[in-house]
Amino acid sequence: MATKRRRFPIPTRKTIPRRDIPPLVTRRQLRRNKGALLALGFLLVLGTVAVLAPAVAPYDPLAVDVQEQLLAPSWKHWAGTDLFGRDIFSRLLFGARVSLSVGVVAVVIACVPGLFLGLIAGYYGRRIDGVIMSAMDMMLAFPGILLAMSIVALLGSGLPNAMIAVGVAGIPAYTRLVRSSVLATKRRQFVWAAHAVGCPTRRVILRHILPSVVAPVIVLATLDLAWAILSASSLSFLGLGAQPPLPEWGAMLNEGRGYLRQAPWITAGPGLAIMFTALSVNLLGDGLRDAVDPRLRTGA
Amino acid sequence: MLRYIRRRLIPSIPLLWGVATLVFLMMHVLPGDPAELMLAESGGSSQAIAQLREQLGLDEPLYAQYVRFLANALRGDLGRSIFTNRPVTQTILEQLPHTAQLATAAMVVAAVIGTVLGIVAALNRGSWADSLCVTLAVAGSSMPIFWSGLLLIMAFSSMLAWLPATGQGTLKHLIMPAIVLGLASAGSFARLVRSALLEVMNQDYITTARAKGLSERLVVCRHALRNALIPVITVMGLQFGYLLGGTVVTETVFSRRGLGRVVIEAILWKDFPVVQGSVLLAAVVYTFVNLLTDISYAVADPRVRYD
Repeated sequence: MATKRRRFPIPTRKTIPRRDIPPLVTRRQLRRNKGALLALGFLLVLGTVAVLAPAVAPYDPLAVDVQEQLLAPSWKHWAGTDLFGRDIFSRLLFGARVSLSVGVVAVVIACVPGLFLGLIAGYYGRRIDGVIMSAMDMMLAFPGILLAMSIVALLGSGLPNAMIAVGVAGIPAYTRLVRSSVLATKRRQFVWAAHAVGCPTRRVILRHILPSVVAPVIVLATLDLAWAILSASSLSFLGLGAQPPLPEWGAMLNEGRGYLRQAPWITAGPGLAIMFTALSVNLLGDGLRDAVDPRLRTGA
Repeated sequence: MLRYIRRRLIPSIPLLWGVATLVFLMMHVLPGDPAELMLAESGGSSQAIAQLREQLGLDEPLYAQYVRFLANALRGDLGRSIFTNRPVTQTILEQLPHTAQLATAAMVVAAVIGTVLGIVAALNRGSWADSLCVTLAVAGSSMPIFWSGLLLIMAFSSMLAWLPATGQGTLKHLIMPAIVLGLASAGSFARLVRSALLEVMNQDYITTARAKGLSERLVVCRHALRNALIPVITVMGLQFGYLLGGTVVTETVFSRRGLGRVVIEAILWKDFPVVQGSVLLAAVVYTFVNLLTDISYAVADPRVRYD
């Protein structure tokens, strides 16, 4: 009997080989994905540059200089200058600050209430679930960006409102995801065991169920970050988000629209910046998804 | 089949009612009085604001406004624009064909490009062609519509002068907007077709087809693709909402007429009846498209009906 037990030990923290602990598996999988690693590198550099923008930007992003209007890229102005003679490279660096923080804040606005509502809907079920999910279905009946636009219409144009609008429009996706994970988790044995030893409900939800839904939420949040950055820059492009002279990539593109022929560099810089940022976030999100959930693996 | 349609149709009635209620509440309960917002910029007097409130019926109790809004909406009356004084329904119906044309063309572009990329990737799984297709798909969905639109205008209108940058009417006017909007969605199609095809290729009936000695082309076209393309119907429905939202930006970039332009102008001018009407219409259309998607899915895959 005793020997049998030794041959088939119950997996515990101590008996699972270190390399099979889930977060380390994820990290190892992610390391194998060159695209995701490259994307992570780009985002880290971008994040650092965004934080250090005041120190590394060669010029003041708002300084108008009529002598230097519409200059092509040169050693003096790496990405050229715009209609007001402002240095585009400096504006791009400060724009990274705006775009990244808008994206992150919008994702937090979407994620936190979505997580909360999803946990409640999934755990309590019945009427609470019915009410929450019908409300989410109603929100999902609006195409995302249109919902964001109507929220901006009511709150008024401007970056903070655009951020809130994009965030609120993202809530239903999290609620749905978390709810379905909770539904699967709450019938697992360890949850019953927690109830059986007298854990209060709040503790069961927060300590036992929440950790198991965190991984898919992180993946969704990463992919959602790309959507949030693109949507917020679209709103700014349409004149509903960041207002001039704030250096925001979408708004900068809008300013350069009239000078496509004369000065294509005004739109080129911010366009490439948005594209590479969204691309990196998407690649990282895909990599994370593959690493967290092997069934969804694209390369498999 | 009829039973399935009925079962799917009935929940959409309370959903539509809820959507109408949500639109109403957004316009009436959120902070900010439409009348004040509209007149704030022109510095309207409190008398003018009161007059406008009366004109819009905002002085009535909320429930009375709500009942009137629902009753009118059911009859197809979405109020009048504050600026042009034209019925909102008329404005929407005039612009709807332009947007529908753009969205349909974009959907075709997305489905064709996405399916081709997906098939190439799945059939060359693990090779450089696979990586290239997957990267292209991600790049497509990472490209902001306004940026790819401006790039195409720069290349094909400013430099080569092949296609008109703005306006509408002919097929030439539709090419660039449809490509720009379609490319943004093609990525989702490509990924889905790829994973669906990979899954189908592992099924027993594919092995059987190969064992019978069918050529690889027949195996793929006749046995695998037919089954792999079923989930594409679902994505078409979901992507329709994305395309509907995308038309707003596309129409702005290419200065096309359409519902998207109406919405964005109404938002900028704070023409609330128009915003309310068009958002409501978009949601209703999207809900119906999703319903149609579900039904066509059941037609294509009978298993769905017996769930």
